Amino acid sequence: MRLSKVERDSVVIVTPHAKKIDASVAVSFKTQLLELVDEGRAKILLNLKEVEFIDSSGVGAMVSVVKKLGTEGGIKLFSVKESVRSILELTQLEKVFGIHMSEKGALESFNQ
Amino acid sequence: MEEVVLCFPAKLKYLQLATSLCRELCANVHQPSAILDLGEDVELCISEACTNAIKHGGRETATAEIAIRFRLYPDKVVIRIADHGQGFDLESIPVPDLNTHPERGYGLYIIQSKMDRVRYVREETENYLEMIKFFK
Repeated sequence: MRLSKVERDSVVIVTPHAKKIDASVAVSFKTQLLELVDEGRAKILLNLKEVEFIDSSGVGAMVSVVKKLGTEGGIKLFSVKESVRSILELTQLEKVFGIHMSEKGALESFNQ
Repeated sequence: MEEVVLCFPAKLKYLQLATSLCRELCANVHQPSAILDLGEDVELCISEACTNAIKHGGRETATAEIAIRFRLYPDKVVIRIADHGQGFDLESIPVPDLNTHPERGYGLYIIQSKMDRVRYVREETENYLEMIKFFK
């Protein structure tokens, strides 16, 4: 699974280039995010504009990373499609990941 | 009743192809037309069920297969995901504690939330997870 990354202030903006995040790519997704954490990046902003489908393996990968971050940082999301949002709501994980309408709003929320 | 069966090697690399084909199937079956609205839920539940069958069925081997069987009735769709593993007791699978945000254990919860009836059947030759969705 290919991710592109851009640094902005102390936040790393990560864009997964995948339509689906399921069990076939979840390990790669999680490993690459954990590498960022190991490098000291604590604030991760996921741009989900290309993701049309996510299942429990995909959300589980994100939860793993959030748990490793602990209170030091977090994962926030923007450009979240309705199909992805509905899974986060069903699993009540929308509370774990801040969901924002725009990159700007998400970046500002990290600095609040 | 009409039936469509999709078989694929029990390997995660075929998962996206399998779920996409199931979504396409829903989009291309026009009778009963209500199936058109279920593509997203069907894709999700098949992804969860097939992942379980591949990972927990002990079947990610060179020759193992996963079979997805669609049966379309005028009032419902019945989907069976067959595996040849040891099987499990559906009643013994705990509901995830949504307040503690676990990393795993959402798959069957999602299936049971999206489908109207779910059961796991063990037979002599194979086991299958059966998911039923009634058309509104």
